[in-house]
Amino acid sequence: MLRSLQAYLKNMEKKKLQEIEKNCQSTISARGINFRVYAANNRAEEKKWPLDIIPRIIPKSQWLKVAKGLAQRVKALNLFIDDVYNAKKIFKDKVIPKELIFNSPLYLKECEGFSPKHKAWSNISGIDLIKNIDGDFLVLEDNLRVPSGVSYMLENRMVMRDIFPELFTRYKVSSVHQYANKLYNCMTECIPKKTNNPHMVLLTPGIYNSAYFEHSFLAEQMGIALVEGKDLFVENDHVYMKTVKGPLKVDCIYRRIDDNFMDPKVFFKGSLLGVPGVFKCWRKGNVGIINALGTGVADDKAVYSYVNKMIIYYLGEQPIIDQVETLLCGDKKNREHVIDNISKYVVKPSNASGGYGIMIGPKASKAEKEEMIKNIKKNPRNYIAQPLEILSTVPTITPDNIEPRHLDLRPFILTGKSTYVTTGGLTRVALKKGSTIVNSSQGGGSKDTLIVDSKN
Amino acid sequence: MSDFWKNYDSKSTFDGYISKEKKLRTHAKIIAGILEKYGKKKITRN
Repeated sequence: MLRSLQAYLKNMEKKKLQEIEKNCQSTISARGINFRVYAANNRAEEKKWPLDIIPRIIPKSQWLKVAKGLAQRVKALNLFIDDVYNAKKIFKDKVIPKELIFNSPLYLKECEGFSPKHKAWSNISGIDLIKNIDGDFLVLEDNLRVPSGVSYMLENRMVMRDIFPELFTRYKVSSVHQYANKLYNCMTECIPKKTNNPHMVLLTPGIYNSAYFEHSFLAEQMGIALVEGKDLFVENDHVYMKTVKGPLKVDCIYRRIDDNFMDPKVFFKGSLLGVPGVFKCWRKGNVGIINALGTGVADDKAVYSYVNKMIIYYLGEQPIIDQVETLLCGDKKNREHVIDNISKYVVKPSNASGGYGIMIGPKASKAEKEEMIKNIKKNPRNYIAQPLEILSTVPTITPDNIEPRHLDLRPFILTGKSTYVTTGGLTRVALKKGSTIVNSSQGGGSKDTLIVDSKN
Repeated sequence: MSDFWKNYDSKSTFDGYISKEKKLRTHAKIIAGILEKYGKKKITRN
């Protein structure tokens, strides 16, 4: 099959190929695929989504193993979060130091003694993967709070199907389009009490959020209402949506708001984004919330270093996918080692996202390194260090040529009663030569990820 | 291996298309066909 596919592509008319890039840009504009970044003066700037037309290709046989490893990892993480807020067995057995968790700003004492339906806390997980020098996938980061990017994975495929239609109709490229259906099913599975006609909503902070495109895209794809906090209210410990026909009881909320802003009665009092009283409704089992509040406790780069141990502890299995070696600066010996060898390490804040606050030792200036050492000494728990992994590359179109560029991969895993792993994920690519920062907020681009059955 | 890939330098890390021995990976031949035949200038908009 591969040979015939190659022949098909080689025989494509020259004119058609010349149109590909042009079509790609116009399709992105027509579909309104964009994202928002905040400049230094805090002004929002809307940018067109950067898609490189040379796709990443992963053989299906390799992907099947990775998908199994991702499901395994997320299962262990969910068992861990449930254990943190309930039995606390893992601390009693001294597998993980409890101080690491209970001193974390992401631990919510308000969630103690509670389990969401199916004990599924991280319903939507985005696990960042990189390929090492041997071509094996490694986990770089676990994103369990409100991971974003899945809409771009879906849109990338829609654009590629528009510009390479025959590639997808004639050959075995695994589809990604089940995601919205699977997410909808996941939400219904997370409704605490069985109901015949469930009402579900996607709760967004609003149009100024950098991921608003994704919020509106997913709500539309699932056919559910896109709401802001002011559209919901609580009465008798049930959540209702305001509609022109009167209040409508809400059964499940896909929230894209951080824990602290969800309920001003319980968390940050000044929050105008959340819904007063929603936490109590959730704890009483009157509404489902995905991801569950408190999930962030496992989305912490310091906790990440223990996930392999969690897999062995909870599942009695060896991890299928390995992860990057990580040193916790909270440990005195590690801290001294990292400070003495700061030029060799990538130092990251434990609780940040979006690529912000990262120092890449081999490339950092003297001043940047000194600043980081100061920060580590001031708040050691907040920093981890990893050796600079040389991310794999894929040919990427540059202004002058086609050159290798570093990339990572964010697959998404849905967990309700059942588990679903996307086929592939969002490939993010660093567009600057030699850069390993792939975040779109910092100049990164993206590629479609094709899982191909190379046996045929 | 065609001339197209000779200037493509990815020896320092794992590359999804080209191996260290400068051979096209089997699964990457799908798209590499386009790149080899038409080159960058013809794919991108001038």
